[in-house]
Amino acid sequence: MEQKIVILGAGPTGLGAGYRLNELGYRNWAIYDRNPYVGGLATSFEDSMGFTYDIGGHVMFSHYQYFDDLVDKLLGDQYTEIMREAWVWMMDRFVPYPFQNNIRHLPPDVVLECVLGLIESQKHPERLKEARTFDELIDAQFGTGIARVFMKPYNFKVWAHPVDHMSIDWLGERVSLPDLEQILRNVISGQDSVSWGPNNKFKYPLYGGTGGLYTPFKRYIGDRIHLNKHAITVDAANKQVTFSDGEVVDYDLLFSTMPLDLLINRMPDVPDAVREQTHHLHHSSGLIVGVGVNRPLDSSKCWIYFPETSAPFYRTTYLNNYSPYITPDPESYHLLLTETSYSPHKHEDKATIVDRVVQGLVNVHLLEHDDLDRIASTYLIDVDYSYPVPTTDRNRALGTIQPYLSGLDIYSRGRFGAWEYEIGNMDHSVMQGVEWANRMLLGEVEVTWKDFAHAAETPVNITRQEDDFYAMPGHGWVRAGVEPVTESAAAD
Amino acid sequence: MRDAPQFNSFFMGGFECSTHLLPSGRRLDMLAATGHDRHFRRDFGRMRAMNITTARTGIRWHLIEKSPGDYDWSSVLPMLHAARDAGIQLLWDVCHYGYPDDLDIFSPEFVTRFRRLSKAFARMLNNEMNDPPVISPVNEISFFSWAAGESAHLNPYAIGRGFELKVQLVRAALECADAFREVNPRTRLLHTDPAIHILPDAARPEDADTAAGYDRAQYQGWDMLSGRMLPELGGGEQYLDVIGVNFYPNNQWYYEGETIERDDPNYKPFAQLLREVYERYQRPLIISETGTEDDARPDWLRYVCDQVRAAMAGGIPVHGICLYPIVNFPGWADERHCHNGLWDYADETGEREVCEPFAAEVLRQYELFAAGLQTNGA
Repeated sequence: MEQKIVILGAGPTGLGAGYRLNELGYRNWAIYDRNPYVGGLATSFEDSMGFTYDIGGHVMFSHYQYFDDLVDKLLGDQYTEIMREAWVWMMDRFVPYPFQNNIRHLPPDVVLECVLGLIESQKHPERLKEARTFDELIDAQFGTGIARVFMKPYNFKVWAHPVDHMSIDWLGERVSLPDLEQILRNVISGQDSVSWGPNNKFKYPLYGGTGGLYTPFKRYIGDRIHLNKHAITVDAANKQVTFSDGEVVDYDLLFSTMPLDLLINRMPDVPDAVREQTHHLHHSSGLIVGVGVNRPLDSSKCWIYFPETSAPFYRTTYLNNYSPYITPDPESYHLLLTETSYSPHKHEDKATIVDRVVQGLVNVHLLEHDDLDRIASTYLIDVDYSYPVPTTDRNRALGTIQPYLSGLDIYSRGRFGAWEYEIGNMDHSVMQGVEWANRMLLGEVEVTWKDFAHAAETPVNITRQEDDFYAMPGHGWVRAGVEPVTESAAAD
Repeated sequence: MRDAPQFNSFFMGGFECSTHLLPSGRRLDMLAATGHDRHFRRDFGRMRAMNITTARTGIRWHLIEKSPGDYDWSSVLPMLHAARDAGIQLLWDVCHYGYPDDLDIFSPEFVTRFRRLSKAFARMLNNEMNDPPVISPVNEISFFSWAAGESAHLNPYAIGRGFELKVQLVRAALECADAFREVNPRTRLLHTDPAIHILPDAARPEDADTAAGYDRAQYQGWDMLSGRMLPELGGGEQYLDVIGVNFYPNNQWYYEGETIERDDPNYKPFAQLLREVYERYQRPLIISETGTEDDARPDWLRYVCDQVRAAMAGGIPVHGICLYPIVNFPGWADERHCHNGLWDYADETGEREVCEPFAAEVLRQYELFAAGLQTNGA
């Protein structure tokens, strides 16, 4: 009576789908994952010394009641709550985030360049509407000064793709000009507007890093999860998945969360017109380097952005500030988690990345020279699929590939399954799975995933964010300078 | 008898109608305590405005048969006429825990008197209505037997006679069904009981068999009615038209332990409980009672409705969900003001305040089911 549902991938999306199927009492389903662990890109690794590393910065932040309830259920009281304190390091100083609100920290000639650029952009609000690429949008929104010193170099470091290859629709419909009056007031009166405050907190698992949110799924659906199962062929005609160990599994409905281009590559008999669309799906890769240091940390910062070339990484997270169990002993250690992107547009030498990261940490003064002898552990994670880049050719490719798949009872969702960066945060990813299960079992409409085959009829769902939210790549959605103005803290 | 049941509306409202005796000897009358016996016209009008046009209610045996063999329908007729005028379909409980003072529920006379009452009720309904009656002869046979015969929670507060009472109530229910069908062969029989899930406490694995036994006992009422268990009682498949599944937040528990809450991995999805009932009996289902208290009401309804829609998508024929109770009632034992209905106590004019968040969720679910029923053609 029940159709057999096979889920490929035990990351947030696959687990979300499985959890919901289970919650709705569905019985005929199973999850397969090539890894020996659950969590996918949101998993965490612990080294032999007792440092825990996430695969880059993850912030658990959601606008979904269902997701919030699920987090409560999975974590109980085993979580910490952190104010999302973000900074930018450039020109040998810290600038509180959001950058544009706090440019007063920069040298006077740079402040002038940024302000003049902002004034010029405010004279031409029409350019904001006319912008077609991310490159044009940055100029139109922030002016050429901020674009030159921060937005463009930073975004290239994150995405590893030229910003003029990127579209703008992933930013949502409510991109607006910055509040020039506020910015000038801050410059002249020496005030900061920061993105963090008591109302802008996020939860983090007390144990096990970000992955600590996903291992508890096993309590509910562990008996349905098959690990170390690498799908090598998807035979849509016969509705069978073949795994590398030779096992063949039949399905009626296939829910795939593997990268969309890989899925198409594993399917024989895909028409050329569909297959060639995968060339329009671009992604960046990441080299995550964790550095455990035998020195306690005296800072409340969460993460820092690095737009300059003095360090290879675009972001460093003080992961030990998220939970006391991230290091072997918070009284003695801290942990720096760095992220460096790479792609065909931006090469990075993997053999030297750890050394270059350590040197970069010295260059940006997160490590002192004396600390080099205190490095207790380093850890490198090479992430092939790190960011699905919203390039200008993406939507058309998705609009071709997804209907082809759904016509074969194959549904591709998740950060790389849907290939929609704007719905690639953890909450979105889990909810893509939940909503797909709701669609299959309850006939409900998926509201998070955007169907680009019918884009004209589908509302842009990312406008679920409040007006003053906009996307800052690399860390999901952040609040753009509307928190209470606080006196500047001396840059440490 | 075997065709799909016809209910006026998918969402239904249940009026708590118990008339059992408290241990003090005082008789409850929940239709009176909720004011429904006076404000039924207003209540039916309110339901109609919410597109809820099927109601569960009950007759009060002790008011009807004040002396053996004499039946006074004055406590029923005005309600019945008002429902008819308002286009509200009534599903009747013939015995909802209460019976006349002079009867011993374990005696053979209980069965014969119940049969005579049923026959008279059937005749009365036949005179008053064109549509075939839908009746629940004895409300919650399995639960009532445990509460009244096993564990002294309900009248007659017996201990250790649960199975004996279950057999007795099945006898009574079958006689009632026969009496109704003799008057109107198109009578539809709705048999309700809670769907439960009992597990051994992890600390006491030796209780596994006992817990499993209690878990299975939930089916005994329906099994006897359908002739699968103790066929000598006269049960048969023809006595199960519609199965009513009652479901509340505390329907799952560890044997002699805590409630299994919804965030417990051992919590069995309601859709799965429904599937187990359906696979056992292959009969159409309704959710004949569901609800909870206070602020939890909308979320609970959302959970139940999601589960019901999932079950329906899996091919299980669920024909309705009865919000129970539809108006707040005072606690049986302590007269505590329970906020468990869609509407509150009535004021002296019969006005009742609606629970807005709950009403909003009911309307939201109404739309979801309307859309689903259209797509699935169910």
